[in-house]
Amino acid sequence: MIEPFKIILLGLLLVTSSGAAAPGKKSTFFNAEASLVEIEVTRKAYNYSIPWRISNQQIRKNGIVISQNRILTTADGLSDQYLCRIRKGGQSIDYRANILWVDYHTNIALLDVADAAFWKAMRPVKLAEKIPMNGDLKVYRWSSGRIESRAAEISRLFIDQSKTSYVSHFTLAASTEMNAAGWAEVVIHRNGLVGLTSSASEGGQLKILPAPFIKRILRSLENGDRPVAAFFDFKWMRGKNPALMRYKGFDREGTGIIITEIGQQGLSDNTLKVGDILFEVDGFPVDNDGKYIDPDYGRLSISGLATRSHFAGESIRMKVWRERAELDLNYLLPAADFRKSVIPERCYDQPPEYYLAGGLVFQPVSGPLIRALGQSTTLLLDHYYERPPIQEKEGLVLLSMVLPDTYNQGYEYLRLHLIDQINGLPINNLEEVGKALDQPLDGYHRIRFMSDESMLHIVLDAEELPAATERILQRYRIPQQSYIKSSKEFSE
Amino acid sequence: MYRFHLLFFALGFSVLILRAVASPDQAIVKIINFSQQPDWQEPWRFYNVNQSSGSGFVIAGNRIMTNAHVVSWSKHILVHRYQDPKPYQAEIEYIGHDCDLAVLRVIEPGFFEGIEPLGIGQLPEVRSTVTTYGYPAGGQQISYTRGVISRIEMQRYSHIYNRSLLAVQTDAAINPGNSGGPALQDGLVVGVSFQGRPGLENAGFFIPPNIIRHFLTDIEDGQYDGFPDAGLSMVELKNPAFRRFLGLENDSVGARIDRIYQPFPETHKLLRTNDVILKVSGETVGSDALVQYRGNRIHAAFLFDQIQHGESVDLVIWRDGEEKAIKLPIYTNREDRISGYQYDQPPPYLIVGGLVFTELSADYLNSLGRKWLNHVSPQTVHELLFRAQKEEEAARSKPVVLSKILKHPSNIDFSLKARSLLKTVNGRAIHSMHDLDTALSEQEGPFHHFTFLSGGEEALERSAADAADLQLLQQYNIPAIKQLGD
Repeated sequence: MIEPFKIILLGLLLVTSSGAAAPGKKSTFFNAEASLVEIEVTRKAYNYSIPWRISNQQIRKNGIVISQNRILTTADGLSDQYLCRIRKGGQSIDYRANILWVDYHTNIALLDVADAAFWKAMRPVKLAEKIPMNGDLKVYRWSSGRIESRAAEISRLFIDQSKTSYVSHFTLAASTEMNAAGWAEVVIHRNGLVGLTSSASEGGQLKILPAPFIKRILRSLENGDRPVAAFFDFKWMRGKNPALMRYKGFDREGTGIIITEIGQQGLSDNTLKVGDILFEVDGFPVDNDGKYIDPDYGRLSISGLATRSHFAGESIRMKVWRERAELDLNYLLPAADFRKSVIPERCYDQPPEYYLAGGLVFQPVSGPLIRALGQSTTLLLDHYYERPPIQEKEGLVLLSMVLPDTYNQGYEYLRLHLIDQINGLPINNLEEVGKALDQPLDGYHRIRFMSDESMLHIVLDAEELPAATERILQRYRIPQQSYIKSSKEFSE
Repeated sequence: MYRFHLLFFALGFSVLILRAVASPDQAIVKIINFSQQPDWQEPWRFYNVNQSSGSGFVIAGNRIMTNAHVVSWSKHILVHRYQDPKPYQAEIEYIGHDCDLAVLRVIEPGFFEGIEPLGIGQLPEVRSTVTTYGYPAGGQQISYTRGVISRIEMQRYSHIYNRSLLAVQTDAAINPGNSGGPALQDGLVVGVSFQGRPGLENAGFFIPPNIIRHFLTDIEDGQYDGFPDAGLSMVELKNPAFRRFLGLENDSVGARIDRIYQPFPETHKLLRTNDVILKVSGETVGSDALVQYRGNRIHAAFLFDQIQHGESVDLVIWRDGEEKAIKLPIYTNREDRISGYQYDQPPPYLIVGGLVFTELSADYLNSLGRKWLNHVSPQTVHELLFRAQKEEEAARSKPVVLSKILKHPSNIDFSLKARSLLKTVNGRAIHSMHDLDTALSEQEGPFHHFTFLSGGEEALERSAADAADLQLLQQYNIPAIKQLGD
């Protein structure tokens, strides 16, 4: 006679060993050991304050098997990786993984393991079709070789900025007692994958990248498309002041927001204008808080409508009130692209760019550089970081430091000065620095800083520059004169 | 016996003579200031009356010299003579906030009787000894501290913050309450104690005789004009290539004009960027932009500070391969008052529909607390502190900030937050409080429309705004709807 509990055990063993990767076999309950994996990422870590210095860093995060040869995780932490290894439950073997696809705007990545042995007994998890709006969740992760699971309680669904981009999308907030989460821990509800954690606060508030959002992107990927996240490149303020709405001749009470800025990220097609009252987006009426009623999830910010059901390149309808008349617009959704910003907010999968000439170190101004400078930044850099000169410049180049040498005598103390021109040529990027230094004027290099910098001009000898650069590279043990990601590489 | 008495008398007499000539104690006074500072966010309000004390000393002409910061924002000033319990009421005769000096006159007669005024000496030598006198920490007894002159160089004067003038550093203890007291050498004033510097131990600073004399000369015509400014950024010229580029020998002489700030029309007329200043007032300027002065190397800007407002400074410059002599008239720059701390006049304000507008100023930012940088946008800081690097009109502008919203049904739904910088009102660009006043008073339509530098905008119905202001003035005890100042 077989006792009841043994029957259950036997059943478990059967399912586990059946190899869930086999198509057609669908199970309905979540078995963490058969689906959850631990990912060890070894990556290059850069110091933007000393851009030629490279160290390495190792992080551990989680992934979940979603189909044959597909492991889903977040993109966070994968930038500049050069070794990805995966460990699954019950084994001490580390399997080498490949990154199949990574998108930092949506914070999603897909990994594969070539070794067939890895897939044995692995079972995919089904992504939930809809985000639960309330109820209890379960959060799982690998911790010191064991599965840790904790309960989580849904707080709310809202629109939030991606952890790894300025793109906005659905985000599920939940509270849990799991410590130091936010590394793609899997969130399960009724045996389905509700999402992956993207961040966690010290107070135990999780932000979860929801499964339906992930699913839509993966579906597009499976169809052979290249899903690119879209972004509303405009800022707005609430249309709460009735006097302001009346001033504009707009009499639909409780409706509409006011456009205050356009094109901060360099993506805008200028369909909208500052001062427009935007009162309908993609068929959804917009209230004066900038919210719409989502048919699935209720009242949400319109920022999420750029990613809710569209990708970049598609047009969506907007209704605006401009110069006392209603206007129908087709807003071409721009693709989120850090490189189009005057100051790129993020730089992924590339070393920091720099160009060294005569001890002067030039770097493009970027979010990582500003963050690396921390408290030692300048008021002017802070100002341009907040208000990039989008009309005047495509990018900003900084003289970040001077490595002292007889060649640059008198300029040793210069640091963090924004470049305007070199040898009369406007400077927007490091390629232009190199080109301008190839064209000295009467034997000199004339460097002009931005007009509001504390110093405006310096002059250097052109003939001595190559020898000085070589000498400085050797003295300061800098392996190469520059790293510039060419515009050709960018376009790839 | 007779001879003994004679000797005793002689000693006694000599002691008396020594006291009259050498002891300056009688000339040192304690000053008590009852002050009241305005609230820079709600400019019609003043904080509680504050009592503080400092020191001063009697100078020629029945005047008491002290620091400007000892008597700033005063409502009532009392001075105490040496070891005399009677308080005498005093008032400010002249005050120079840029150099942190003031002279007081005493209202009651008889105060100066028996007091020998102190004379002003010369810039002391580095390594020489001085004695500071004063009433530190509000004590009743005069305090003396002996110290050595450590160095003499340009320092930021923290009372006004946006000026640097010559200052003398000493290791004599200078504590709160010492301010305004003299530093003496051989019975003459060689400095006025005025500030310390956080992080520097055993270091106090005093204002040297050059600055004291400039102040006293300035007020001779009955008004204080202040220290003039040429509006120059004079920088080192040490790089051999830059020197060659300008046709100069590599001989360590000459500092380069990197920029001419705004608004300095006379300087723009007579000088250019990349002119090299070889001499100022006959003194040779080194490639480090310093001049040799009484054994010290001091920034050449110090020589400009010897000139009075409206007078000219003699320059020898290098331009286009040759020397040129230039007489550069220099003036006090009154356009940068908002980037330094302000005194004497309460801040301007204007209220419309409960929106409180005031001038953006260093005082306003300071009023937001020690971490004010976290409370305002970098753009706001840029608008205040980088004006002189812009065009002349911008340098003369006085940006207007929405300081506060006095909540009222007519403005309760405003989306914009306080601390936003105003851009236009009723279609008119706003560069000052007077622009704002004009834009509002000339409006004839039913609305007031405001745009802000952040891109935001708001509107008020004029009639509702007028009604709201009447109520708010009463509700918050506000004496007037506006106060625009000069």
